[in-house]
Amino acid sequence: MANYKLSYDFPLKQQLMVLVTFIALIAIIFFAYINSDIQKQLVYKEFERSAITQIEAVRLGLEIGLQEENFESISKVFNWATTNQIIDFIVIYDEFEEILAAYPDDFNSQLETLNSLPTRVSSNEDLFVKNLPWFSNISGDGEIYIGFKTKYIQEADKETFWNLFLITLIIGIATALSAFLVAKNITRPIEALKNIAQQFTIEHPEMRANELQGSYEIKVLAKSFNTMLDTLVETQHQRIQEMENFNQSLSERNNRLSSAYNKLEKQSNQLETEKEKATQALDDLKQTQVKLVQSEKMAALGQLVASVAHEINTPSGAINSAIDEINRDSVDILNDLIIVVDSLPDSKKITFLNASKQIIGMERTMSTSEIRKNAREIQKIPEMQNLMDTAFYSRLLAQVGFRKESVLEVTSLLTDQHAPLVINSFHNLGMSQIHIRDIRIAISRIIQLIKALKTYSRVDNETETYTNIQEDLENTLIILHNKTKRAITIEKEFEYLPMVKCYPGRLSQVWTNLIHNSIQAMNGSGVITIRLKNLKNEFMAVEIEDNGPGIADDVLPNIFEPYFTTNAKGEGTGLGLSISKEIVESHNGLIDVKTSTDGTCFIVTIPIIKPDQTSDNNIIKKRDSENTGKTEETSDE
Amino acid sequence: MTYLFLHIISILLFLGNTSNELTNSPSEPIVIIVNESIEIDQIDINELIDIYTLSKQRWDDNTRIRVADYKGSQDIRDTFYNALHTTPNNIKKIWLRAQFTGRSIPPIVVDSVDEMWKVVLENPGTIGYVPFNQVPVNAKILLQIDG
Repeated sequence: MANYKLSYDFPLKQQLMVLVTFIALIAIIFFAYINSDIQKQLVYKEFERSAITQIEAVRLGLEIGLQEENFESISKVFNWATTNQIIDFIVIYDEFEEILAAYPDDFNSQLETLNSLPTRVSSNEDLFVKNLPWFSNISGDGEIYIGFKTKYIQEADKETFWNLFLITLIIGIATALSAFLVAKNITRPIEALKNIAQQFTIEHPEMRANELQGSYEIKVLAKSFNTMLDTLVETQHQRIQEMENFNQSLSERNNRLSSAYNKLEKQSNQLETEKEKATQALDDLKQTQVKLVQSEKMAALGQLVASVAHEINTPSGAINSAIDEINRDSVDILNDLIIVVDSLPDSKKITFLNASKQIIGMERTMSTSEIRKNAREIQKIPEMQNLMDTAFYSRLLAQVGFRKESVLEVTSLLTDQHAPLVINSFHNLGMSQIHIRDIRIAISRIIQLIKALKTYSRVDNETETYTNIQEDLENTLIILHNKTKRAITIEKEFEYLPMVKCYPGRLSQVWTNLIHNSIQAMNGSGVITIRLKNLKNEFMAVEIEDNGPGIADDVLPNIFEPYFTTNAKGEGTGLGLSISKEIVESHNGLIDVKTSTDGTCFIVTIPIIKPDQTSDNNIIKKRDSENTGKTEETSDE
Repeated sequence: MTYLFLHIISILLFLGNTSNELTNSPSEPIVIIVNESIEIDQIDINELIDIYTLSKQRWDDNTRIRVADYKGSQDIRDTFYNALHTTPNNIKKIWLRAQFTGRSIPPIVVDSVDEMWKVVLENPGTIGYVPFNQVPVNAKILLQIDG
């Protein structure tokens, strides 16, 4: 039990006693004081009233006595006055304010006047003087003065005070005594309660107050106290129970928490797995997207395969026929050679062989008109006149690349009778060379095409490289040549552009898409203008413009959305423009479209990432030199 | 109330007085009489003055002197006090003062000669005065005062 430090060691009993006594005494003294004061006032009032009554009686006695000349009654008045203890003096003045009669005797001897009376009175503080006018036939209007002794009242006062003091003392003692008793009575059970409260501990919870002793309140208090103790014990039990319950619930909660934690852990693991799955899915999706883009490309390719095949087929056919021709001609050449070589003199054999060698090395890029002009010039040569059909032979020679000068070198051979044979063999040799040239062209075309295809079909995991955009555009046009060659004119307006760092395969896909779209938009006939613009070496812009019917207004907002297509089902994936847009944006570029009924123009703007001056300078220069002169030319003649 | 009551009584007494008024001639002598029991045969006028101013209060045999007088203004009274060289008012004042000293017994005041007789004859120390022609039989005459 805690020991409370008390502020003072003054027991309740004594406090109560002192307090009650003190209050009682204060009350009594106050009451006594008030009472004595009131009583004093009452006594004084009564005294005054009796004084007035007495002076009235004196006057009446005097007046009647003198009126009646009844001196016996006057004597009685006197006797009454002298026997009255409170009367100190009686002075009766006549109309001249001289003493008519006085009691006691000394007034008569002194013969005092009215004026001298106050001096006598004022010197005597114990006197209360009252005066009254009176009338008689012997003295006229006079005055009666009576002095009353106040000593009597003072004595009464004193007596009252002492009485009150005595009463106060008695009451005070009685009060103190009763206060002591009451205090003892009241505090005894409280003290008992205090003792019980001090003894009441956890070890002694059975301690209880006596409910049967003391006054009603004390009994109630004891009962309440006991109830309180009961409640306390019960509460303590409850508290302990609650504590146990709380501990139990705490451990339960801990268990639940740990299980929840485990669950959480599991969930987090699951989440981790799911996250991994999601990452996996995302990767899959990315791969799928790559595949999709690839497939789109493949679809585009598929569409091109036919034309590409055809494109390859044509030179292949040319090669075939050229080889056939060469095959056929080679027999003739061989026959001719044998004949010519046999018939020619030795001096001319050397010339013939030299001429044959020259034919193999001849330039054969001449146009038909040039050939015709050469033929006419050759015809004018005098040695040619020996021949029967000069024009025919001239044409034969010109056809395989002969000029006037080259013919003049071999005039010695033309004078002979074998001249037509020589010319024929020259012609055959030249034609075989032309066929070989055609094969070369065809093969180079095929190589070019294959190269373009190879470039085009590059897979997207490629790295960024410095690329000649112009070349890529050319390649694209080569691939699409089959579709454009019939009725589409391609106009190229290429400005000088340095090498651009980009993903060239992806950009080629963009160009293919855009050009292919233009071809489709124009239903296969029209003009496609391809512009390559260099915007202050900061940006490059590729404009692909057709003169088709334009894009409809309701279609325009959707053209860059994936799977949107105006083609019939199965003809396209609808991914072309969306992929193109994505590719351009991956290059931090923009793709824009301007359309009207006169045509549509797609504009791709891409920032130029300049290569480091030191490392790539040479390449650029090299490439630049290659590119010069290629601008402003038409691919389709 | 008491005061008013006393006034009424006094008025009634006054009215009673007027009925027995004496009508003596002023020239008639006055005789001073006493009760027979007094062993004095005569007094002089000075003694009489002493007695009526209450200076002398006992007879020679130590009997208390009781002064008797008439009430109101009557000729015999004026005559009497003339003889004593004083006035009824003065006498009254003296008597009043004497009452307050407490040393004298109060004088008896009567309304008529008959009453005077009665008072003097019934009270041994009493001294009174009556007209000469109305002296009672068994009264002792001490002095005669001529009018």
